[in-house]
Amino acid sequence: MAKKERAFSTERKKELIFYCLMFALPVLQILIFYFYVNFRSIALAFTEYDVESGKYFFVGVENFIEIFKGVHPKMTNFNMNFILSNTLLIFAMELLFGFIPAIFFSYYIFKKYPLSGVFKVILYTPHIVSTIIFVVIYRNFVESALPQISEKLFGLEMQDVFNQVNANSTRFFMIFFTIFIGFGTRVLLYSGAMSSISESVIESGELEGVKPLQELVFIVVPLIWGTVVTFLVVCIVGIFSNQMTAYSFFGEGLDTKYYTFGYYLYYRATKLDMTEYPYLSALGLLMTLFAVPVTLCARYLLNKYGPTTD
Amino acid sequence: MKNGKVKQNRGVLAWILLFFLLLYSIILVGLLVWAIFVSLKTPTMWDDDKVGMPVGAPWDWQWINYIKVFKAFTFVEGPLANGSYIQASFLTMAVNSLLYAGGGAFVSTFACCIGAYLTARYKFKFSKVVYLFVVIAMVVPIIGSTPSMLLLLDRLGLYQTLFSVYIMKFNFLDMYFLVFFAVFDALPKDYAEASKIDGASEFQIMFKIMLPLALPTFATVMLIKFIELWNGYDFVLLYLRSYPTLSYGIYKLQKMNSPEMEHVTMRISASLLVAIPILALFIAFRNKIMGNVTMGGVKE
Amino acid sequence: MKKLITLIMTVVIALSTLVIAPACSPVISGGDPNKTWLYVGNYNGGVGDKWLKEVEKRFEKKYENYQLNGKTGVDVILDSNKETTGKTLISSISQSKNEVFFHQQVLYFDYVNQSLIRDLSGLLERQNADDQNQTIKSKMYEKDIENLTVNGKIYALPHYECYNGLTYDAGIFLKNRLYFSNSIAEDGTRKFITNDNTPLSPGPNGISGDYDDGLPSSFEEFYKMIDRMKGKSVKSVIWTGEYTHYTNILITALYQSYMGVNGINAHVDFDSNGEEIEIVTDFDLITNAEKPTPMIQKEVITQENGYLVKQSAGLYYALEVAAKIFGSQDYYYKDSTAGNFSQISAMRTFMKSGLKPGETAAMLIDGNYWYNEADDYGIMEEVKSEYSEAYTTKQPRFMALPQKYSGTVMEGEGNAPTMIDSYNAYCFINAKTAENKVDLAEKFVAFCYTDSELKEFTKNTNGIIKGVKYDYNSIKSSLCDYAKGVVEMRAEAEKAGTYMKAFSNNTIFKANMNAFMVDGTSEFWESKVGGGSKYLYLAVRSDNYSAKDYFNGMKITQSTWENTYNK
Repeated sequence: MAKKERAFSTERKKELIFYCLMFALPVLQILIFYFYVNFRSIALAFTEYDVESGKYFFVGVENFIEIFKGVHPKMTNFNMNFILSNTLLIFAMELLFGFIPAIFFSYYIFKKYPLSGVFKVILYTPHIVSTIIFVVIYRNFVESALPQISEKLFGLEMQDVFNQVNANSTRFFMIFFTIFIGFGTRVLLYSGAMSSISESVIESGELEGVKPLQELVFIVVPLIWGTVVTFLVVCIVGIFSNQMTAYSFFGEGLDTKYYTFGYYLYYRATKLDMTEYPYLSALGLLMTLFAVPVTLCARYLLNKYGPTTD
Repeated sequence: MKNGKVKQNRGVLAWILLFFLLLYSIILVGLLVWAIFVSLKTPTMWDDDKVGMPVGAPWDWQWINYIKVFKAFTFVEGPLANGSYIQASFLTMAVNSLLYAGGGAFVSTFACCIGAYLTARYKFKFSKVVYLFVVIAMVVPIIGSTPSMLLLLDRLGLYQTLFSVYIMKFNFLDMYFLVFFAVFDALPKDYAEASKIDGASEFQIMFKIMLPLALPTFATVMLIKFIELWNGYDFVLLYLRSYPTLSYGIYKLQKMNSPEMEHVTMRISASLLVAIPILALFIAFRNKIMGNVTMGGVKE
Repeated sequence: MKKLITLIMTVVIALSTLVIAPACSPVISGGDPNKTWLYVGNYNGGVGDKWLKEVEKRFEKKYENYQLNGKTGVDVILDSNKETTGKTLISSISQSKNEVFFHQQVLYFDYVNQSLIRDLSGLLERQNADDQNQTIKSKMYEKDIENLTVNGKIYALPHYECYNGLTYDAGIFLKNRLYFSNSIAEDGTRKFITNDNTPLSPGPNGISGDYDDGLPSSFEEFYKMIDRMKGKSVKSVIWTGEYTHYTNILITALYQSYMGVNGINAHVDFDSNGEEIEIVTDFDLITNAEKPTPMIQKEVITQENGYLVKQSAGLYYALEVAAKIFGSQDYYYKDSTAGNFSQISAMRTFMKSGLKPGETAAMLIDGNYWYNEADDYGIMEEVKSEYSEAYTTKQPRFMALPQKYSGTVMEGEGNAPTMIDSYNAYCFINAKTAENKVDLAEKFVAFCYTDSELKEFTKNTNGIIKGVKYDYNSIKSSLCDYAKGVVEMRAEAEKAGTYMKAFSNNTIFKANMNAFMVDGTSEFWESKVGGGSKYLYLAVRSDNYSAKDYFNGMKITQSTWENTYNK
């Protein structure tokens, strides 16, 4: 018995050694590139860079106070009003015109209605072809071809539609594009989840004369609610990283009035200006502090009060 | 689901959805067809007509634009972290894309695979911690840590090196960790046990028995990651300007002022040319890529 | 699937082996190992690098027996690119291999303060036997010496001069009768020409028979001209929509022209030397509600009221013209507002304007360097081969702009053109140049500033003037018509003292260069309207702001001046 136990413990020891060895590198990577980086980022948020000495020194919560004032003097082109309103706008638009239609499109594909196979590929194509390639095509089309088409077909003169002059149309075309290219993964995952719904459930609904819309709302959506919640959470998390593909369209030349948090954080980080790092970290930390509870709450509420199959 | 049964019950919803999906398809296909037409025009043809087909018979169209892209799509990148400048050509960008997307996809998939295997197979307490941590890290958003990452890479002397990208990508805090976890968790333990009795080491069990069983999943995940990395330019712009990729090149192209490439016709030719390899890959493996993706796993 | 994996793995592993070798070739490649290498960095926009390649050949030939570290001869290695300007070079110069630089938008004082560039004082005082024993300093303008001197030392030499402005097509002007004639109507205004032989007005300089004949001599005439263009369905201007700051080039040019050298000196020095400058205090909206009339008061500009430079009448008048042009598509070429309309496309379209069917644009907004750029890009050749005979009617000319608001300039009453360079282009030597290479670097700089090389520079850059004193007039005959026009204007401005660089060593200016530099990208143009923009163009088009609104939004208050700028 003791021999057997000893053999077992040797076996366990071997397993443990192997386990530790194999996990060593991935865990080290996470310790450095996740834990260290994020803790350093938190620490940076409370500092200011001294150009003379090339060091960061502690300034307490000064950076946060400045950010809350809305216009930070040391953060280039930082305007909280514009950034916040654009960020919320793109979130609402995505939710309304991207998130919900994706469920309907997925349902169409799930039900194998006419051409559903073709639509599945077409909806996924923007996910396969690089966004920047679509940006080049789309931008040139909207700026040059669309005005010509509109004039020839409808006699309508379209000017300044996508050159930041007309704020409404510029925003419209950016948001439209963001939503337009965003269906691929959502539709794929929703329809994937739908395909795992038991056939008998659907059939029994049909036998009871349930109409498609009722079937979708009362049977399909509740059954894939887990996937829907996940995407909603992803959508909420994305509030602060969504750029409206603005950097791809306009690079650094974007006018302040179109800034979002995602754009601002990315754009300023590309400048590699060490003096700005603390402010960017502070802004990131603020957003994290806001996003974490919101995300967790949303997840909890959606799961608790979401639709059921009863 | 049997098609025959649902046909009689389509209703208005199906027609409305068909309308919107057709509209979507027309816009998307229309954009691509328009782009192909533009890519085959001369600057003068473009100036005269920005919508229609190129003038003349198809064999007279500017197919040469695509050849020109190969030669003229070059730019100078810099100053890099070491103060130098590099000349990026189409070929070097293609090689960089392969190195970045291929290498990045491999290490990232490998990290997920290894992490998931160890967590699924060995029921140590740490495995539970790892699993929980992955789930938490995926749900809890951390925003604005880029500056800190840049400082770290700079301090390590790794900024703008391919090696640093591979290290950054060697990370299993990823949705695909869960995919691999599901795969390994579902695999019967008998194979491993039998091999162990035959005297196989843990290492051999892992690499010779268990991982090959997950190889189809590995390939699919890697393919998906490869496409993602190939397409992205933003990561390259931040961390790897020393290895400009094709997608990054397309981003740069929008502001490129070289006489050969500045025109819309050439910019779109280059964009389409860059899209071709990935489209070919998609067409060849479309079922693998999009056929079986669900939240729970990637089925082979 | 296994095949796929094998394939991917093979490709990845094969390519990974390449990682050890750099994936891209460096721009600076090696030279002849038996010679001493001299690294030269050059900004390759505008003036390009054709001139430098010529210098390289001649310098290498001249110093073929140069001895250093057992090597004989010199190999100049050029690093010519458009990615870096003087603004961005500052962050990488300490890591750069380049020893000599030719760059624009150089933040000179920052370079000096950070000890990034070498003191050239010794070199400037040295007599050059190859240049009739002249010193470089003797060729420098007094004002440049004054501006560039920091603690008694000079660290850079003026490189080229470029002028913001408009280029017009004399062919289109003649064909559409857009020139002013020398006859005056009853209301005292000038008439337009009626045929090819109508005698032209003397233009802004008031001298008949030269480069500016028939051109508008006041802002009122300028308005009249663009309205006539509108009447003839000719678009007044064309510019690249890719770079919004090109719209500011038009405003800059008009502003500089109206203000003149004294006014711009007052702007950069915050000191008008006792001379009174026209300041807009308010607007009269009663007389004409649609076109507010500025109420003007004259003020002497000093350090205490330097904020008034943002309230000058010249500034308002320039904004007013620009607002009119940008406010209606009747005045500009349709593609100018498209972000995909590149600078080269704008040049090409301008050169084809009037030759091909479709919209005709009469004037191009760009610096005078555009011609050299277009020539380098092969646009002239392209248009010439496409429109062989008709091309002869294509006559691009740099425009002398009006310097007064109303009335007209009569013969003998005008002023020489205001030629103001605001590109801050300099030649300098990297501070980290190895001591044993300094001599060679200085020899190269000295070589570039010999009379013969200065003339060659102007020849090889289609009339771009180097920012020092030399006889550029003597090579006029070898230049194209466009370049001849620029050279004539520059010569006249130099003679009349209406030439300057928009630069100063004034403490306030040095500390706030970006806020007061007179170029298209500067924050000087920033206005509070519309949430803050530095482009009148955007404010006018997106929110219908008027020139008056924009102008009022640009103002700096006395307290801001005292607390932020004149601390």
